Amino acid sequence: MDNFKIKYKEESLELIAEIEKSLLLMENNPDDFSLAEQVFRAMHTLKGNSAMFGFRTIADFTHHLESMYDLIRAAKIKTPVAIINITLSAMDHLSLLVNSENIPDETTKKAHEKISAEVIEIISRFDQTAHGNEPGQAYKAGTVVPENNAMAYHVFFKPHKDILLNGINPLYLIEALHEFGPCKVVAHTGDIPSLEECDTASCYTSWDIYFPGGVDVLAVRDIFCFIEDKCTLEINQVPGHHSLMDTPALPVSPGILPLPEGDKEASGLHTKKYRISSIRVPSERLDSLMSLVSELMTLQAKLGMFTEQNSQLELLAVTENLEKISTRLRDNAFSMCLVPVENIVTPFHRLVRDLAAELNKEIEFSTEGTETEIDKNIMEGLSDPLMHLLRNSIDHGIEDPDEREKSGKPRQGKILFKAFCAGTSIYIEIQDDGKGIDPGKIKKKAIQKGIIGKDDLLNDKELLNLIFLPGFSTAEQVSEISGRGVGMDVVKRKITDIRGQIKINSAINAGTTITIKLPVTMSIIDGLLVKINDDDFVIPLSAVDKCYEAASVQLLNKLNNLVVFEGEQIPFISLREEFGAEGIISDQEMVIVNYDEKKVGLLVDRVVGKFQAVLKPLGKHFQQMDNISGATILGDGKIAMVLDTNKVVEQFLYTKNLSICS
Amino acid sequence: MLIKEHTASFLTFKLDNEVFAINVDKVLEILEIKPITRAPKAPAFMKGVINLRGNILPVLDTRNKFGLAEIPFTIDTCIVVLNISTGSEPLLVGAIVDSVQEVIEIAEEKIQPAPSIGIAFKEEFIKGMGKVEDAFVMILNVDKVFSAESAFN
Repeated sequence: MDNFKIKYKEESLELIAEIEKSLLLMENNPDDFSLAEQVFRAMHTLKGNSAMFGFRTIADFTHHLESMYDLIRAAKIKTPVAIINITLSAMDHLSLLVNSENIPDETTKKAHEKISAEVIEIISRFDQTAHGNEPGQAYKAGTVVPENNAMAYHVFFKPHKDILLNGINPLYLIEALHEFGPCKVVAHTGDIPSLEECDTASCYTSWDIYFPGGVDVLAVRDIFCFIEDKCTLEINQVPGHHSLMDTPALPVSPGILPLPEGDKEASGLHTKKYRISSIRVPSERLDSLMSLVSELMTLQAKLGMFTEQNSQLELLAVTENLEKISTRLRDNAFSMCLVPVENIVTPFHRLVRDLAAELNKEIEFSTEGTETEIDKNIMEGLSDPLMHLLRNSIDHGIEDPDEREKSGKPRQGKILFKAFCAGTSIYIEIQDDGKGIDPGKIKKKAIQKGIIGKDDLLNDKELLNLIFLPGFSTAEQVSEISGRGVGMDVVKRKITDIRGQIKINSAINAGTTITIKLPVTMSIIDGLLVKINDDDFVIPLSAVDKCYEAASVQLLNKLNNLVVFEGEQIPFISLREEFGAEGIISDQEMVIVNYDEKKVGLLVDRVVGKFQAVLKPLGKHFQQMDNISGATILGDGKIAMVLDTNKVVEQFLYTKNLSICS
Repeated sequence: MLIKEHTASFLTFKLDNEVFAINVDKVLEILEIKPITRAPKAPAFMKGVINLRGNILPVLDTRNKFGLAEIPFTIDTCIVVLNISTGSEPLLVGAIVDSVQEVIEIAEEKIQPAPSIGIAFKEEFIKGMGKVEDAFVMILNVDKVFSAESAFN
């Protein structure tokens, strides 16, 4: 049962998020009536789920909200802002209710009563106006029509014999009719043949259904709309539902066993299951699938190596086939772990709206490319930093409306959240058109905090990058929103943790753009396997520009660590020296990697070749070793460290700087 | 007759001539020494990593932690795989020791608090002194000795 509860919780929270999203859209597009419809439907599902799992409080609460939106969608009016606000706070309250296991405390109870009362009041006001103007529109689904409306429906429903084969369970349709009020259902089972001749996959039953009027005939027809050509259907309106409702059920003709009915139910259920187009899987299971696939890839590499040593034709064919299939399996498993960026962005709409209101700022938040997919593990690490960046943009970036007007900008500030895919990376950009970051201010602050010396020469870009250092906060006043001691250094660290990079661009008075570059997946990377002093290392292929034999170029100036390659001077680092290995070997090879926008050569002993590295974490002890981003197990069981080339270069420059200074 | 109560089993090992003990609850297995993949520029305490059945196991140099000079591995050198808990999650580490001795039982009343003076290393590394026959063994607090936080100190 606990399992169901967890599912219920997950689903409910998703529905609440969906409703919030629609509400916010509604605020911006008041003319789009389909949104009220969407809200209504989501609420309806939420109510249904809650009732089904026995969460009466939530179900009742949602029921009122649902009725409110039912009225709105029926009346086809613009949803007033006041109602949206109430609904939003109701959603907050609901997620609180859904999340809390325990009995709500006093404040929650009070909030509950207050919101309920507000909603009921709106409904009653609506009812009055609706009755006054368009009485026909004022029906409410799920409730019995007033006594004076004595019309009732009689539906005769005789599905074709083969209806079950289409995956339709007629019982569900009849159940759907119960939505309109208490139904009287009479089943005609006279056509069911004797047990020997009975085909359990056929439907022999027809039904007479009586239920109160007050709903549109189209709504009734709608229920059957998918099978209209697969059944005989008569819908009549008959006066006085009461008398009909009271007719006793027809006696079941003798000799008919309830068995076929049960069978139908079962087969109906079966076909329904068959139609499920997506399933929910606990993420631990996905994780274990991924780690199994990784193991398989390692094993595959081992087999490949073995085959190379013992080249038998049959073995070669088997290895090749296995490789094809395991690659496909890997790609498939990967795609399962991808989730659209959308999931993370939805709560941001709310965040921007509330924060802007709190700070008296006018902000238009738009998103682009939210369908871009990203590994769920990366996504999990992304939520907090992104939230922080957005808060920064709202709090420090966008100015007050008056201030904006003074500097000749529209009163409403703009924040654009953009996600896109380029090469093997995913990019996420947060752009605002606020006041931008003043490098001069940063310089002053950095000198004041002792981060840089008075006479240090830094260009604007380097100055901007200072904000990512620990202990740097430019906000003149620490505010409630973004000055909680979590600075940009934490953001940067969190992004680095998921193997991402962060960049900042800013122009005074024009705005700030923050770009985050992320790998598509965390667990497998394409790399270049190299040897340094008999140890194996993997350099991520995404960082590699070119590689060539160092013998073919003159190691121009060993003192300056520069080589000339294709007419360019490229600084290089001898990884042998860097990693403390002794001795010099000839015929080394050079791997040129990209560092920022520059090229840097890494001198290695030997380039072995391309290698698909299954990244394994090195554990907590090596977390502070940032020149290594992980390790991978080679085909022969040896371990190769995966280098973070950016960090290797950075560390090299750092130690060089120190040695020059001291 | 003495009723034996609250006894615990300990694995003893040697560093130089000193005998240390670790509660067996913390010990997962004992491996023969094997080639260790070094991590470039790592502190000497962090010897490197080994492949433990498809997983990466960090290997730490216990001698280094206790300020003893590095010696070449011998046939007795072992890697003791420990399950240490640092904060939230359990963590597997391998600790290199000169030689593994035996598993002994020490009654609780025979464990005395560590003397606050006269030991060469941090007090928090030692849980207590266990009396075995006439000698004392130092019972290690492995969570502290091999914690990730202490690796860089």
